[in-house]
Amino acid sequence: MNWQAFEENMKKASQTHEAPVDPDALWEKMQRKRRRRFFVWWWWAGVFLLGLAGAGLWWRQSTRPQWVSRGAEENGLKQEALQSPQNNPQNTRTNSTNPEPPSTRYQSPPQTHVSKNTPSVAPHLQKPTRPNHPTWRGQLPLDTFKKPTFRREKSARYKEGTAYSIGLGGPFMATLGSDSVHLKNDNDRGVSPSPEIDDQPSNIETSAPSLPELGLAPVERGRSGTAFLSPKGFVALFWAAPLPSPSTQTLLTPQLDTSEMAKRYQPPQNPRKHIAWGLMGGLYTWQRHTPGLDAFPYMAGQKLEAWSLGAICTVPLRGAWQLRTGLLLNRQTSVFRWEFSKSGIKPRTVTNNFLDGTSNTSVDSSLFVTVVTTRKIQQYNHVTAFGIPVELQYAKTFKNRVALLPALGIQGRIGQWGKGILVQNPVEGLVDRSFFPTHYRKFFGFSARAGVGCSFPLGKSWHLLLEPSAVWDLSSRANAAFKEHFSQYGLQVGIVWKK
Amino acid sequence: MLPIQTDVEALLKGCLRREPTAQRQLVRRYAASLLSVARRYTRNTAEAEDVLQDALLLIFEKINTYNPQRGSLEGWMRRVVINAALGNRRRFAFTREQSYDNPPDSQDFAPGVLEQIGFEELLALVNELPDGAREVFNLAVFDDFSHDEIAEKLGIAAGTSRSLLSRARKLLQDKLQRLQRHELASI
Repeated sequence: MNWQAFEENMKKASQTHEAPVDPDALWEKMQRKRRRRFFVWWWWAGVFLLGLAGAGLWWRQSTRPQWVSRGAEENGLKQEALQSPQNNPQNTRTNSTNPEPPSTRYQSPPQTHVSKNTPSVAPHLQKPTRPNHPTWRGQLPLDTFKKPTFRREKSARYKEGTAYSIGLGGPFMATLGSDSVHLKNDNDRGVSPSPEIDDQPSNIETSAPSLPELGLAPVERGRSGTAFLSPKGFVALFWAAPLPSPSTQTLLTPQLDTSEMAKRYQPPQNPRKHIAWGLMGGLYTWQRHTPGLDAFPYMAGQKLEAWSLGAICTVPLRGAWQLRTGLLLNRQTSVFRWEFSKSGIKPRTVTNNFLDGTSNTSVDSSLFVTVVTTRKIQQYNHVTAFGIPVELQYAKTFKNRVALLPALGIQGRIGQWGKGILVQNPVEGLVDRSFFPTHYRKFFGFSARAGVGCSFPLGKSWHLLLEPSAVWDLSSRANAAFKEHFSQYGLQVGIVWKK
Repeated sequence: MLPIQTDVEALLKGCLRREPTAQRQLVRRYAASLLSVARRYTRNTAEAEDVLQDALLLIFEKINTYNPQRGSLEGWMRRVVINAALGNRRRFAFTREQSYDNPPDSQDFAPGVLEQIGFEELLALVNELPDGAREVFNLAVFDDFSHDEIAEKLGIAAGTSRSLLSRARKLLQDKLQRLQRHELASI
């Protein structure tokens, strides 16, 4: 038989060849995989929604004017009260004759005709002391969040900029277009207590960056929210928070006691000042199992290490809660060992017995037998990955500015896994890499981390962070033979700058 | 239009309606032959089963794109499995191929060697080829792809495909020669 005929025979045999398989077991595995995919999909959808909600909460908190929130909470003034019939714009001008004001606290005649020359005008209204913050926009009617809208806005109030926005219902809006706008007039922006002081200058920020530069930033014209990049282009989701219309402004502002407001007024701080930036690294050791041949991992003289290094930032949420994220480079090295059996074919050896009592062996080249070879195998892993942690922290700060920071979070990782196997050849006694050459595979996984950090002040703005922590790999399938997930324990050290 | 057997047609209609019973019957009917295809493109049975599961899930999802006029259902499924296996390797791994410094000069075989070797043993030998050569050998010899098609599937040049096929043949002949010379220390 020549080689061509041999290949033809191979092809014919392959058409009818069937590998041994249990179809029912295969079906069950498929169902498990299908369920796992479904779970993973919703897992990430949940993580995304959680992040979106966290960003929204943070943003809402940072953009809420403190004088409104404090005044409203302390005086029991509800949002509904601002929208009550007494606050109808038609009634505003005749508010002094209204027999039933919305709140007894605000029963005193409102300062609707405050002049900039009047000594009773609050100091912050006489001077341009409004915060240089783009999100200072006053209280909003609740129903602005509920109406699906489509709007094209090109207003003479702005020097430039056109935006098309489609409300998908609820508070979320998808927006396309150029959102780089500038106010034509400073006084077109902001909430003025009365028309008489409209000519007062304001320091409200009058320009907004264009959309692709936004990230998590406000869009001028009273729409705030969050934005993200998708692989196919720029997609932005905005939490619609339109500015009150001029009629709404006049509706709202006269009801507020500006003198009380001035006492309680505290300029809202730029939320970016609260964000802590830092560098963090960690050293870990692998989880140890019972010693033995199949110990996981193999400890005898082998290098076992894991470390991480990267940049972090911590964003304050409501109260003492913080969200920490960043970009970390993770590196893991490990060696495992186990026994491996492999079947192969060899020519059959025949024993020949002769009449004189002697015997020898010969090899029958036409017959083959299957032999099972067992070898000791060492597997080495070199994992390099970039990870983005998303962790929730609770900051318990003591009097000496030392803080205790219990944290829990997950980390998505993408990287490369180099896996190689060293096989000891049973015949020649040499290490042979040719049977299992090094595989490099890209992987995407995620891990969970829990730790309790301790932050020590180093001067006015710098902090030292020490954080014992444990990491569990939730998605590793790299060592399927062990059917175990990696876990590692170690210490993270960081230095953090916070203004 | 190619004739479709009634039971296959019923299975196909059930799968189009996404009926689990029909899908399970399809798995029972074709799993063995499809696993044989997957086994040729993978290093071990576990990886082959993984590829087959992915391919079957893809088949159930995309079965509405199957056109009976263009071939049999089994042929279409074999192609899906091949694509899944190749995609699996492209996505997750590439292998540094080992170097073979001294390919055999002689290709003489003792009478009976090629006839005596079984298909399973032959598959074991083919599986030990380097990945690139093995994939080209499988596509060209077992699945009858042209070099242009192989080049498109693997993202290589057609000349590279021919070179890899030639190399695979030499390596396979080398292994068979080692069998013949009783020098196979291990597989």
